[in-house]
Amino acid sequence: MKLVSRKKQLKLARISLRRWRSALRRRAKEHAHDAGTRLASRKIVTISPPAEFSFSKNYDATVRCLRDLKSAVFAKNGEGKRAEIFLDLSKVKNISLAGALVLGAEIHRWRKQRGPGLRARNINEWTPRVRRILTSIGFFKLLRVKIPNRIKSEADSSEVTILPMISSTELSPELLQKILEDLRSVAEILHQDPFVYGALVEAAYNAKLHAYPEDHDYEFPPIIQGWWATASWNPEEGIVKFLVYDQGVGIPATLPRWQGWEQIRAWLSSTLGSIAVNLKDSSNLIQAAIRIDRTSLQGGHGKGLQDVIAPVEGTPGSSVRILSGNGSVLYDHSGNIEKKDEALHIGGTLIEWRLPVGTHERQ
Amino acid sequence: MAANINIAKDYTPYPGGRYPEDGKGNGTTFREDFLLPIIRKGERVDVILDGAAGYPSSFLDEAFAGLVRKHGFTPDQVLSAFRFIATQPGFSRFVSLIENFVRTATPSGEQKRPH
Repeated sequence: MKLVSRKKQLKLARISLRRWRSALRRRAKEHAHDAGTRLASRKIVTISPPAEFSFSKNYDATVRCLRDLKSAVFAKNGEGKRAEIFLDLSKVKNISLAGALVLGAEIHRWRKQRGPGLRARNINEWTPRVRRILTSIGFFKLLRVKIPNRIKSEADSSEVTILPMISSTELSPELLQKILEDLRSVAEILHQDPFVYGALVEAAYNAKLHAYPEDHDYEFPPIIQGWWATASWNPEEGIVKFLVYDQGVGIPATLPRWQGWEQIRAWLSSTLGSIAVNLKDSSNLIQAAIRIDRTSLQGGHGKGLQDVIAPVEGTPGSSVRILSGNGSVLYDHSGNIEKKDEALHIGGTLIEWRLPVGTHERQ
Repeated sequence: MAANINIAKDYTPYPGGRYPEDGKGNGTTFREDFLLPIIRKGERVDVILDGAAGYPSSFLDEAFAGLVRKHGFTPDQVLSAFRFIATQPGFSRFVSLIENFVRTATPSGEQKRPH
């Protein structure tokens, strides 16, 4: 065995320590580089809603944005991880109440799918009106984000009263009645209308019973399987609005399961001609469902639809709009129907009642 | 014998839904707990509709037309067993709806659920 002097031993130890330190530095450097690369490659999906976020004024862009959001929420990258999503609302100049409700429901699904961790980023850059509407409808409460008092008071100062969105996976008639009572507390002129109550309950009931069939091949899983509702009161226009939304398959897709389906086919065939073409038109199917229900012998889908249109019948200036699947039907107080078919599925059923108050004397 | 049935006070001011799984204001429970005992005894009572928030069709159909569909009573038996009191604005429509649902209902034995 070779003898090494004490001096030589110390020298070798120093060299070994230097090498060890330099290896540590090298590894640290490599780790930092990897982390930087990972950070740079972390995917952030930015969703930019259109300036006009409204189904009546900008349907395609609004629905496309909602679809982008849903796709991003459910998408995973190659490593099975979910991308970070940035919903940039700073470009939105105007948002309708219906748009706010559906967006709120999507945020609810987002939260349910991904858990906590959502945060509001650039709310100071949002258009004040958009911020007011989203604050009023409970957008930040849904995100569980604390917002400055300044923004809260901004919402309180609005002329239009918007009730916080409510949601349930059950029928919950009491919860729906609360909407009417809350609205009456700010709009004293609004009287209890038993038909509005019935319409809200039946809309929610249709969502519970029909909107989420188990065997349907969903593009976006309906995680919550419930309904969302809100209401507003505009004293300047003298208009109250009630809205109920679900994230289901849409009325047209549920009709073939209904016992009145053959009647619907027969009615469409006799009224509108070629059945092969008409069965693809969602608006025709919704209209037929309303029509058939009126004469339906047994209880069913359509009895609910009769309740849905009841609040507007005989009340001048009132209307109800049903957006369901790809179809849009606007039904007014005298029974006139305006129909439209859209290229994109709205992602459920949205029913919006528009009722004038003050002249609300049933004819 | 109950002199009358006040739905809002005796059952719920917020009726809605058909089946027990739809919640406490459903039509099936109301039919079985309140209407069936009366009609089985051959009695006649007033049913007071006033006071409720409203009456969704699903509730009215299940409660009253259900006596024809599920228990085999004739429409005349049902409509003569109950007299409906509806004095609030708009509530008379619910009486018409009940009569319409009962008259157009048919006994169906093991009928599929309407919804």
